[in-house]
Amino acid sequence: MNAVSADAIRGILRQTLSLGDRAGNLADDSKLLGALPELDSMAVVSVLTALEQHFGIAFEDDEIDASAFSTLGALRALVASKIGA
Amino acid sequence: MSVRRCSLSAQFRDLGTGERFCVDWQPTEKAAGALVLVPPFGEELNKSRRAMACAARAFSANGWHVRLVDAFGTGDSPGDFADATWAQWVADFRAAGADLARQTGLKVAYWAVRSGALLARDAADPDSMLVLWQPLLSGEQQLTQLLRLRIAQEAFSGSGPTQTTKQLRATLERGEPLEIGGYELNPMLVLPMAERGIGAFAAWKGRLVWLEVAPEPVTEPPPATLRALSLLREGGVAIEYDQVLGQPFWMTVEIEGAEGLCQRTLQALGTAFG
Repeated sequence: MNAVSADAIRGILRQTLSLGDRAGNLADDSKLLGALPELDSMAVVSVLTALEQHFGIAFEDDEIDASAFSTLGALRALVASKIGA
Repeated sequence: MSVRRCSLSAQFRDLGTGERFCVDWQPTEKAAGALVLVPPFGEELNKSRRAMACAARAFSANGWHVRLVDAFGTGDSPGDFADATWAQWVADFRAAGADLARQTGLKVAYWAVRSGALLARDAADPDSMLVLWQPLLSGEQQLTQLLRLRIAQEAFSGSGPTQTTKQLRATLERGEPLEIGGYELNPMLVLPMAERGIGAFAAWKGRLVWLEVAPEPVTEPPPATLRALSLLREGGVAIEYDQVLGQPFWMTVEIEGAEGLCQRTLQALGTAFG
């Protein structure tokens, strides 16, 4: 998990969702899905792709569900699990 | 760098692969360099148009003849997008380069944006100069993104159970097209793209300038870029990599420019005159 910094995830969310300064306030326990109006189904695809392109990883369909996007920490853990694998 | 006058022209040119719509930015004096622009495709192309046009104007003001060609089935060129194939697009960009070389008497360099990098790799002579803007490292990732968009659209419209990316991919592999976001994707276009990646530059002999944007000053490239760079460099490919400040103009909601990339590219192009 430490291999993936919260900064890296915040940066990708900021860029992909055009969050601006709001991204800086996101912590591991910050809620994403349902809390960020920008995060609709299309934006979820964009975030997944941006994470894959940044870290050079590939998610399978069955690894992704709503819980992966519940909080920033959950998303960070998902990425860390791919990098560790 | 002296700024010269330049002009814009748009015309159909017979490239040998057929008539293709070409937009040329050229200096009014004799060009010192020639550049073929290989754009991304789909929605990324729409988002990138302004950034590419601004940069093309700047390059031509600095002595470069820049050509944007609409490949088969895109823009104002003939053909249906549904009939576009990877091989046809490679042939079009190769022919556009050959045509520009004849016209200017210059060796042509390629300037490629996003997935255009993988096309340029196939279209350009391996000793050509390539300038890559945020190159797509993996065609497979791009295909997966397209398939996910289709799944997200299906889920959003609530039209029954959605298919998985594997099922959609199987459809393409059976030779059937897929409609995604209003584009009918030909398997012969996207499956070859999925087979390609940044590793294909392993045998590149020409100058390879690779530029990426970062929203704030960072100390090192993203992990995926670092891995690709070290793999290619270990294989003996000389890469001029740099990061500049900028927004991901190919995907942002607001249309963004690419001033940082443009200035850094001018710097790289300036040294090409020798």
